[in-house]
Amino acid sequence: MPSMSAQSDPVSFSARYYDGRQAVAHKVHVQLSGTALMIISENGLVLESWAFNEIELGDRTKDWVRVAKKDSEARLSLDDPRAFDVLLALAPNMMTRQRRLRRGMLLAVASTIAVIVGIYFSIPLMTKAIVAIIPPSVEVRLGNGSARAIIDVVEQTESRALCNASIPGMTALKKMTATLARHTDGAFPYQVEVLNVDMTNAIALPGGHIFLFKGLLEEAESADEVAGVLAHEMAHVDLRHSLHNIVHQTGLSVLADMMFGGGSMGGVSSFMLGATYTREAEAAADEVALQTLRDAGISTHGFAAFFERLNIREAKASFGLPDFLSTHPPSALRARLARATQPSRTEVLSEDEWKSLQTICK
Amino acid sequence: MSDTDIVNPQVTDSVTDTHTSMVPQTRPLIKNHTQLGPMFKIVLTNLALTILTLGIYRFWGKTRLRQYLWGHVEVMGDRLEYTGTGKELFLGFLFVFIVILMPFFTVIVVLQVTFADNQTVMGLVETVQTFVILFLIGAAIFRARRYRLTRTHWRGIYGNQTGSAMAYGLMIVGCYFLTAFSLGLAWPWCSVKLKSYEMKHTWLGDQQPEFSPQTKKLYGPFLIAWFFGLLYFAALIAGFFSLVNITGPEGVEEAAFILMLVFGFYLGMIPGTAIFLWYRGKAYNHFVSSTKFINHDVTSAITGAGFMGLTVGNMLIMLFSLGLAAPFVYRRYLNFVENRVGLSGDGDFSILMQSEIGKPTRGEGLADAFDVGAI
Repeated sequence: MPSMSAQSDPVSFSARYYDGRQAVAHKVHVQLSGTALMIISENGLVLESWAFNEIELGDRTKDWVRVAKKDSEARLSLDDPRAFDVLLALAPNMMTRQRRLRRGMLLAVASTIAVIVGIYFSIPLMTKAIVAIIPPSVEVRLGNGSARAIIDVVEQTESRALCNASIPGMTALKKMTATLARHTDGAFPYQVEVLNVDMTNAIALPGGHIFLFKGLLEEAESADEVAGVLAHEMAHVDLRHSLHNIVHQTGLSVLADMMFGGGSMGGVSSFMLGATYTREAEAAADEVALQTLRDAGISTHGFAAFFERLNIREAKASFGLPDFLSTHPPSALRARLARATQPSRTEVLSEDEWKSLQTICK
Repeated sequence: MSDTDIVNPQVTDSVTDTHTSMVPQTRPLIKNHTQLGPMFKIVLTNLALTILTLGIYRFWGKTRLRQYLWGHVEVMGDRLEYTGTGKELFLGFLFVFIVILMPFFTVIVVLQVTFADNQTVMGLVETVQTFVILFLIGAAIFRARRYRLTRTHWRGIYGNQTGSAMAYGLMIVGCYFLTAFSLGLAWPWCSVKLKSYEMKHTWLGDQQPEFSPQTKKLYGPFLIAWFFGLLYFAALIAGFFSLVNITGPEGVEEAAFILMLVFGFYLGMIPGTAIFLWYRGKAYNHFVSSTKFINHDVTSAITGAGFMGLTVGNMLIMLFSLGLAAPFVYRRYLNFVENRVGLSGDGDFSILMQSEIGKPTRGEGLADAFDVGAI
């Protein structure tokens, strides 16, 4: 500081001064003394004096700078390329706003990421807790709504969504369902239906709805194979996986909205159909399904053979597998698991019954 | 610096008066000092940091951009100043997310789950949801405007906005339904009501602008745009369906043909939309020239075609650069205002004093959530 004032010229700039009370640009001179900046009017009156530690940078360009008096609306606008450097050397709090800005930003970013990470890891626990408090009656209603939505979608392209006209086919399906149901223990009555869609797929909705796709029945080579898939979907129902998944997806989409802002309502309502199961859920369902098949005395070879064929297809296909397949545990592993268990004692359906189930959509 | 010669407005204004005592001279309202280089630096840095911080940086990025834009716009010889901070925007976002959006969407999800199999209740929930979201968007626009005005300083004096965001939100809901049920015909009337509400509650320091638009002046251009727009869209839709029903040219697959038609349909919508931009230009022209401030008339040379060109050009720039060329858009927009909006009259700005109305302490959370913040 002394070095500045020791120069031959007292440092002085012409400036415009705004007092923060009235919209007038006062033409002034700014003089820098030992500890303060003096604002002097054209006729030599000292209008105000700002202590150096009260001066904060507002904004600037290459040859212009605007400073503010701390905690006030008063401003000083200096049209001089040297002004910024001179003030920076004298005013200790010149960059306070910029520093505060950077600090605040780092703090906010760090704490938000901490919160998000915390939420991310607590989502599985919270999902479990929320699923536990949702009563089965609500789950049934939710499942009915989802089933209706799926049927509506299919009906937009097909003349009928469900294959329920063939009496022998329906009888066979009911028989298979009943045989398996005797050896499961879930809270929900199963409602198994065949969906008129050409995909090798099956889905379990909340509350007992199970859809077998037409393509799956055509792809299967025996009733045992279909029984294996059905037992697997029944396990999903009993373990409430679909509800779990919906709660989980909702949590994730809320989290995503929080991060990126904008259109917060987007994902929340579209969650219903986006039911994909996690690998752990699949493995758990496999385990239960194999136990069911064993208890019912049905060959687990069907289960194994079906997933083995899927495995070969997975290996061949370079892309475009439906989500349902790609989130499942590797089929090879699954097939090995099933092969290791004991062979069948009974056949789930007779040859005739199997034929009528397979052609239920014809 | 080009503004060194303009010093005390009292002096400059009185000098102008003596020369043009009968016909007040019109001066451009703003002067645009923005430059592409620095703006690109800000926009690209903001983008990189926003991605790296998973979106959280956007509040500070927005603030930095506004500081630059405000600081490079000169109004009557003095540059504007933006005094908002990233922290305020961030707190605004947290507040809105935790106090408004989370509870609202929790209730919606619970209702959807509970009544999943009841079509009537689901329909009702959806209707209420639409109402509430529209209302929140209206309130968001109004509150964001208040925040920006209080953070905009000119000659050391900051702006403000009184009035109620609730009332404005309800007006938006009402206008939405009136416009929908009248096939758009209520829109000019509604836009006058909304703009008048905004302007009636706008302050700079302790002064308010006078705003006296006339609805009937808007209906001429609007009916032209409405008639030709409707005719155009009817023709477009009729053309689309007549082509869909015939088979495509030989050798072109059916699906590809349909896809081409749909693409053509979307392209065809652009001229139809442009007609309404032409009307908006006309409407802005009327709104701007219906404004007075401290004995000054705000004058406008905005034309329908000029505004249409500006907006279509800006939309194309944003579309083809995926938003990266936004600095061109800001410059084009500010140049447009510089060239087309003026101030004439001999009012004395020194009567403008700082007001005692309080400022909000945080801002724009709702606008962030619904993505309605302009810049």
